[in-house]
Amino acid sequence: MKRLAIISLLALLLCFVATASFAAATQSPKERLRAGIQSVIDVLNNPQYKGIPSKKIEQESEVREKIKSFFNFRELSKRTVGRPWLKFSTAERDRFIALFTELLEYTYLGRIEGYTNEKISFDKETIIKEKYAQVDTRLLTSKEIVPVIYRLKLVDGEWNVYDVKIEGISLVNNYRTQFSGIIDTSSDAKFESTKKELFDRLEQKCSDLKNKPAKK
Amino acid sequence: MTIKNSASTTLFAFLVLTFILLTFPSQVRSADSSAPILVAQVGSGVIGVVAKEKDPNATADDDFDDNVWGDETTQIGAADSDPWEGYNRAMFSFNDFMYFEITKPITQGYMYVMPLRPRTWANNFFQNLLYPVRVTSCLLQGKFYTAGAETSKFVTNSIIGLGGLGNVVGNPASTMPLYLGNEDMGQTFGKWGIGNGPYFVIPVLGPSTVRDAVGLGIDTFVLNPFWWFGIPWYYSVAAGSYNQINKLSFHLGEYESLKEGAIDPYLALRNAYMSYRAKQINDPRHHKKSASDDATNPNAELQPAN
Repeated sequence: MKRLAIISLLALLLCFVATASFAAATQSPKERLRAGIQSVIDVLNNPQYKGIPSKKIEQESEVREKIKSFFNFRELSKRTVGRPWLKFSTAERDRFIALFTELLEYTYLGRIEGYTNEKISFDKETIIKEKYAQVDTRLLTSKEIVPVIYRLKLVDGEWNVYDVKIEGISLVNNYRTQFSGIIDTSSDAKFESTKKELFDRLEQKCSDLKNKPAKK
Repeated sequence: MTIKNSASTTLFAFLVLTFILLTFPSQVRSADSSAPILVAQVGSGVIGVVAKEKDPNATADDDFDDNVWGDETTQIGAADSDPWEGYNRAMFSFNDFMYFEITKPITQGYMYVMPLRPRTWANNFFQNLLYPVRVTSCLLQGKFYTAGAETSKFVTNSIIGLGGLGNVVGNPASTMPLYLGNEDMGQTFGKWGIGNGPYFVIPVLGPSTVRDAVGLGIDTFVLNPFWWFGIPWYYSVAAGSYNQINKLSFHLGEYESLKEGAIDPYLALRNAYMSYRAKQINDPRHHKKSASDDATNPNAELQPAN
């Protein structure tokens, strides 16, 4: 009977150890993503802004802030450029991040505002190499189910999104294909000129998007 | 003594079982559980596979190694294969022009004339009619579960759904998880291990690869019932075009949104097509579940993170 008591005590102790190790971990990628997305939805549904055109700019900037709090635009930019990123100077990197973030904002903010209370289902979380995570979600619209996969990286104890995959199409991969079609690393001179072209085209695109009349 | 002994053995066995149950909750309680510990173990198994395929020069902790997830090998090979880029770019511009100047205005006019419901009926009808295309590919890929689902959907919709006009099964919100992958010959070839071949933009129809174009040819001229029974070709073409316009009426705006944010729309579309096809080919056989409990509630307050 004594042996039994020891075994049960051991079992109990092991259980405590297991729960303790779970508790010590940072906010899980799934929780982090859900909280982040929920915070964006909250801003979109906020009666303070909803349906009031004069508050639109204010709402947009708040959405932007909320997205920035759980997206890692530095990592995202780095990955879209790929290896040539290593040859960028610090100033160029910052400029690129600013431009690319602006481009994504102009492209996607309008679409986020089209949100009409669709449900998002958070299905599965996968962590590999301890610092990469993938969260499978599905956007449930009345017509169809759109699988959206978020990829997160653990930086300084925080999981932040660096890639979004919709219907198998990765944001980072798609832009990388485009950027690598522009940047030519075969020689230094070519790299300089194609890099300039890349920035020019980014700026051009941003100003095009900015000046486009908001229709739809 | 013996009674006491057997009782303690039973108790011991019970305790051991409880111990196992408590320490491996995710593995025992539910196969669907997505507890991080279990998934992390599965994930590490995946890394092992990927690590072998990786470039030996790359260090283990490489920030530019985008293959950590092991799903980009198919795309990398395919993206390089664009030997006809000159022709493709020209055809892309032509298709782009056709889309904005001809197809889109026609579709918009059609949408103006035809309300949503009849358009849905037409879509269901064509989807139902193209059952031979999908079921053949399912069978050739060995997806017997999906083939069965397709067959039951075809039979039910043909009989109860007024010859396919209605779609009485396969509603995404339905409780019955019907997994239908929209299979075609291109996907079948891909499943068999045949590569994409060069990227190829088909006039009017849009992005494709040599493999998918061959698949599309087989789907259209062999498996599509419009080309059976000696129906004159102009009727078949007319019906096919009508189907395309009708289908497009549900997807108007998708191409525009892809193009909107793109620096190089040609490359953006090429990448999108390749990625989408790769995903379709590697789709798991049946994974559609109804919405998990873990969903956002639009009307609720911010949920506390546990």
